[in-house]
Amino acid sequence: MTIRAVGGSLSLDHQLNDDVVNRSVGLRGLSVQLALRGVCKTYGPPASGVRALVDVDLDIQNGEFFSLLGPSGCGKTSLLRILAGLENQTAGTISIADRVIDDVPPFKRPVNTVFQSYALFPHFTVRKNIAYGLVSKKISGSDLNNRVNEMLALVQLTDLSERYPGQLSGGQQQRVAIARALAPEPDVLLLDECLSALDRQLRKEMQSELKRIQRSTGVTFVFVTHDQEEAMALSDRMAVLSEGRVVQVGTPIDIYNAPANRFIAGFIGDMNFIRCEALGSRRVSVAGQVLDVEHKFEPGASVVLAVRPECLTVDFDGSSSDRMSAAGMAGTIQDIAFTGNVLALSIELSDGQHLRAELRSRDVAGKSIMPAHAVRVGVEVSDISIYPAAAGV
Amino acid sequence: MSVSTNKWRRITGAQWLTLVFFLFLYGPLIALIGLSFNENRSATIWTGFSFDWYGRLLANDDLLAAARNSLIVALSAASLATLISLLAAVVIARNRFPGRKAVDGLFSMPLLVPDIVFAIGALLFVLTIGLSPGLLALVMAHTAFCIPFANLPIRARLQGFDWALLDASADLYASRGRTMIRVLMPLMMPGILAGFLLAFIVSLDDFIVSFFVSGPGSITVPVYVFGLIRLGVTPEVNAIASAIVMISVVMTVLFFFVNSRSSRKGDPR
Amino acid sequence: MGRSTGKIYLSLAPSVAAIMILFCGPLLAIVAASFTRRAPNGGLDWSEFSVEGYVRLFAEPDLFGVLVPNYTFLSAFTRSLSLSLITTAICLLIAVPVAIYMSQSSHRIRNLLLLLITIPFWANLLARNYAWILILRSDGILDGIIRSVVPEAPQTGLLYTQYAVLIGLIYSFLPFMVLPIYASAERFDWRLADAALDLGASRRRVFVTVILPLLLPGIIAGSILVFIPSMGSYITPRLLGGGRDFLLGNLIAQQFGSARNWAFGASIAIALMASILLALALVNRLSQNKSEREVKVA
Repeated sequence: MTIRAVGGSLSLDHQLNDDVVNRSVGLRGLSVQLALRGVCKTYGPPASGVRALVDVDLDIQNGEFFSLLGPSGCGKTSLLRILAGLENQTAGTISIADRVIDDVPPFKRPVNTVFQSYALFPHFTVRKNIAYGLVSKKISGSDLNNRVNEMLALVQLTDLSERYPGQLSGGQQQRVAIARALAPEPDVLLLDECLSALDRQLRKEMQSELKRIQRSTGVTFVFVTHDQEEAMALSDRMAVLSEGRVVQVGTPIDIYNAPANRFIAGFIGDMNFIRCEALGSRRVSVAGQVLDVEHKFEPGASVVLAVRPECLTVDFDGSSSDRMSAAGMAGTIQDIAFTGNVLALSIELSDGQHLRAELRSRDVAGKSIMPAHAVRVGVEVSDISIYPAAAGV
Repeated sequence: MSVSTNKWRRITGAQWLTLVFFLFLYGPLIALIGLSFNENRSATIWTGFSFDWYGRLLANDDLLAAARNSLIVALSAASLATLISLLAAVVIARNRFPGRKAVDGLFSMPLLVPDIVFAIGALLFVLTIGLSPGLLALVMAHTAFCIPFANLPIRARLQGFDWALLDASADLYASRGRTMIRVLMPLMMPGILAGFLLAFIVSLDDFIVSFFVSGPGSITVPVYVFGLIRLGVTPEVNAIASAIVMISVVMTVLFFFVNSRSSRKGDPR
Repeated sequence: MGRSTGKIYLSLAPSVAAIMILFCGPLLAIVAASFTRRAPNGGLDWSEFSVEGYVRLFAEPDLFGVLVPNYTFLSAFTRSLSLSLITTAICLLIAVPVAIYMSQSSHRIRNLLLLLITIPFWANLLARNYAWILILRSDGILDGIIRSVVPEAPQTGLLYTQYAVLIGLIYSFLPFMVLPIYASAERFDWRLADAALDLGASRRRVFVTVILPLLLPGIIAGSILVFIPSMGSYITPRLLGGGRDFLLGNLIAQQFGSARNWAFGASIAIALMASILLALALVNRLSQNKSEREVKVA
């Protein structure tokens, strides 16, 4: 819900926000921290095995909060384990700050991981957990203590340093896991779906907490998630993975506003997909409305038009139907859901297809909106993306 | 799980049956231990309290020699069985590979063979490989039938083990050795200890295998006791049998303690 | 993770080899011995292959070398089988209510009862059977207790009878039955029974159609753990059944002891193992059929 609202408002001043993002990245210098070139991973025999990753190229910048987003089974966890050195890629190279690390074992890589299960050592206290990586690196004495204390303060767990993980709440365990992974001062911090075990409220809190920690340490974060809302809220940039391939890389705003293909259009945010006929090379017809669009395609082809629910306008006023007929799709309200700031309508178009429209509650205040009401649904041509029709829509 | 308060869930008379059940389990043990403190020469008529018979046990050289043998065999067999189980259990728990089920089944197979069958098998095997019955043969045979018991707690401990802990250790710059010593072993320890204890108890208790595989100088306590029982019911036998039972009780309580501690502590959540 | 199959097998090799040698070795030795014949001075004559031991299970040559039926094995087998089945059944009847009662107790009591069952479970079998001699023998504890109520009562004379053996077997193996059933009962979700009751099933029907089927894994495991050692029991019939070696375990031991016919003893052991494997296969088949039927119903 939040994301949709944010996305919607940002689309108004698209240009401005891009500048802000670029500037904030620019402050830390745009040097490439983590570079992946042609990384492949195949499980089983090379010819017939399961291809978990196919030719992954990525450049992740220094100090960036970068997300790897994709549905389960898309290869994001394999990629993370390869970055951590817990698995080896079948082909391709990975370098950190221009140093190739393909043959560096996990216990020598300047990369630390926050595991999905947190993987806190249950037989050590919080303090010993955080010190573990430092002790491995032969840091001792006051250096060790200072660093652990610094980390405890960073994640606000100074009071709980002598507790065992079993005595902590999920959110606290999460903080320990982050502190433990950050303590050895890694160049890159990997986070594996680490918020998924928390309940919704705590997750929101931890999101801003993660963001704060990342900003204050300046460490490059690579965050793996299947939750697009989370990825959008947290990331400077993100890569969307599907079936082992990187499908699109960009800022959340870019990806939200210009999904590279239908998969991403459907995966990121809510999207209406409307089947329609192409009348000419740039003209489609849907539910009695003719639209001239920016895309070009074969006349007579069957295409799918994608538009965000918040980009639709709805005219409830029957009297103006004449005027609207040139610029609106005819439909009937089927269902109304009021969720506070947003009024969501499901609308059946005259050709039988269904749409979801989201209106700001204050924009429709005082209007009488009832199921079975005939309406006209309007859409801006610039908000439309068009994809070739695939089976099943 | 949920503790029922619903009356209908109770089986009528179940608590009385449970009471009778425990009386049945403990009555004979209590009678045995009680009579072992009887001062009277006749084994079953109570006349007065006495520690005499226990005193005599400590002066019985044959019994002490048997006890020494029992301890040597139980310690060696339990250690070997634990080691054999541990080496394989970690690999089996962590990996998926063809034949995994078969290898896993191998470790519980001895449970399916009656003691008497394994006992004569052990005797035949020992003779076939040119060994004569004795301590070494005892250790070999005891190790075999102790394996499933050592394996049980170790496997239970590994079930639900968070293997990401090993990844986390490696990720935090620990070498394989350090991961082993600092993470895997401490977390496995309660299972290892429980497995060892269980194997130790089972080895100490064994009669039939020892009966066939022990040689003249290497009989264990149960074999010695069996010889005495054959001669008749005496206060000495009462005392030895009671002592054995009491040792078992202590060991079992110890095992229970280790085991319940291991299940309470060391779970991340 | 990431370990090749070859490496996995290599790391398993020492343990697997140890079991193969220490456990499978003796089993193979029995098989081998069962196909030899008795050496003139006892022991084994390895020089030629023979099925004499197996023939002897059912028949033996008389003075003139003519095979006549031999009922030694068959009668011991029948006695062992019937005693084991009765033992298993009685253990089951006692264990199910006790296990359910335990699973319904509070956490503390449950743990205490569990400890109380485990103690005799691991207490020495010989000592526990010996305790029953003290109880059952003439003028023993049982007679004493009965006389204290009815002074003129005759001696029970239970020791050295089949009843004494039955009591001893039940006493020896009862914990083996309770523990697995308890493990199943503890996992049982009592709300399922509530649901069945709510749907109008009688208490009896709930017990038979909901509770028992869900306890089945425990019941099967427990029955196996009681049946197998009962079939091979030696100590109990030896101590409580008197001098008569009338169960399979005793018959086997006798062949390796006083009778000195190892080939025959090994053959009996193989027959015992075969009957146990047959019983296991049967149980496996039954429980599999059952779960298939359940799937079909669902």
